[in-house]
Amino acid sequence: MALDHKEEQYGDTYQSLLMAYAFGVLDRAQSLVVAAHLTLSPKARALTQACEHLAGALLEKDCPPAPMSLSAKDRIMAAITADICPNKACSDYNCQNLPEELGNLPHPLQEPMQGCTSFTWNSVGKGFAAYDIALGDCASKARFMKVNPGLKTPEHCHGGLEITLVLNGAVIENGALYRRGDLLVADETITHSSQACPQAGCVCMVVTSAPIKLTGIKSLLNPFLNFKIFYDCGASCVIRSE
Amino acid sequence: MVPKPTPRDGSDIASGEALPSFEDMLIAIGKERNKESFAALFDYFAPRVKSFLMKAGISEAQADELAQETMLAVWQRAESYDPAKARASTWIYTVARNKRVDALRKVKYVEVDQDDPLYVVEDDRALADETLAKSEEEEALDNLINSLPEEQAFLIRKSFYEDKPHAAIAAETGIALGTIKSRIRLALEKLRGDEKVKKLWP
Repeated sequence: MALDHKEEQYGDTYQSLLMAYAFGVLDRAQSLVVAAHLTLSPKARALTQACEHLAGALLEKDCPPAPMSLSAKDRIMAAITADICPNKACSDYNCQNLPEELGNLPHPLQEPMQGCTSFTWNSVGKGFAAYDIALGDCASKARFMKVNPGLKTPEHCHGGLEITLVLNGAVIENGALYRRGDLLVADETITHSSQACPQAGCVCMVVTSAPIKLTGIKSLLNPFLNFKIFYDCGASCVIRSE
Repeated sequence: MVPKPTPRDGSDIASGEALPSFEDMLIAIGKERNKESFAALFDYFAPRVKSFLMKAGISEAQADELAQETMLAVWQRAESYDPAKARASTWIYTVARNKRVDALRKVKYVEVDQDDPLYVVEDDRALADETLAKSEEEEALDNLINSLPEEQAFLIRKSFYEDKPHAAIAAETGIALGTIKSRIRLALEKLRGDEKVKKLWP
């Protein structure tokens, strides 16, 4: 039975995620995985560019002008006379020692991997291996995951956001096939289960974000940081410590 | 010889004079280092960028500084501006947005690198050879946000101004996350489905 490449891509969660990227409200880990996806997907870029067009219209027509300080314009007019033209940053990443199964990484993913001197997969369960990507101070966590052919995660839902970018092999979810460059996103409103392609398995980048926890009125973004996913003999459970 | 730049309020239409658009001004800056054009762009956009930044919670002083930096970056990068790819306000917005991310999160906005050998290019689609008349384009975009149902426009504006992910908006407003996402999707589909706008957006 051939599985069609599904157009789930245009679902609510996916579109909202891309709009969030265009509006600059994602954190670093989330932005990296989305930017990598956009590198590989012209259709996704079309959607984010549409959001940027919208944002431009809002900037131009919706933002009430806030008068600039008196000296601002003079300062800038003087600065531009100096005609500074900084060179475009050369994105020359030195990523070596990365395993073949990761495939060629789009530039956004090469940046955090530059310092990696020896890459090793860590087993997180039978047939599941992970590599945690060091991103410094970031609320979301990112890791590469390698899953053996045919293995499934049981149905689960997330307190927060889970974004998966397929880098190699394929993932089957809800009857649809996701290949290299495809992005899957799930949040607390979604219950899902995914399976690594029975022929090739899969290698993905997975970004998980802790749930938003509201304390007090209009208080926001109080994510708790102890959010782990353990894979135990093919089973997946979400353990949260509050 | 560049015509005197004026804001696009239509007051000069009767004179039959061709007004430079913001796009023309950016091109003039990129090609000729035209300071008059830049001054006009500064007058129009700097206060709007400042306002945009302040709505995200940035202090007035810092927003003023960042708006200046935004306009300086506009001057420095104007050569790379491609009117076929974006309107002036879109392009200037992306510069402002990146400044905002830098300021609020102390990290650089993660851009897509078009020079990445892995960058998959768009299909060879005939890029609108019949471009809309400028005024039609503007009208289409101007009406966009106003043509949305209030509940959708509210969420779009909140996402745009307040530097919050949708889950945070849900937590704050009490609107269910699923509802927020579907309203945003509906808004985006409506905006992209508009006949005139379709020609601007793939």
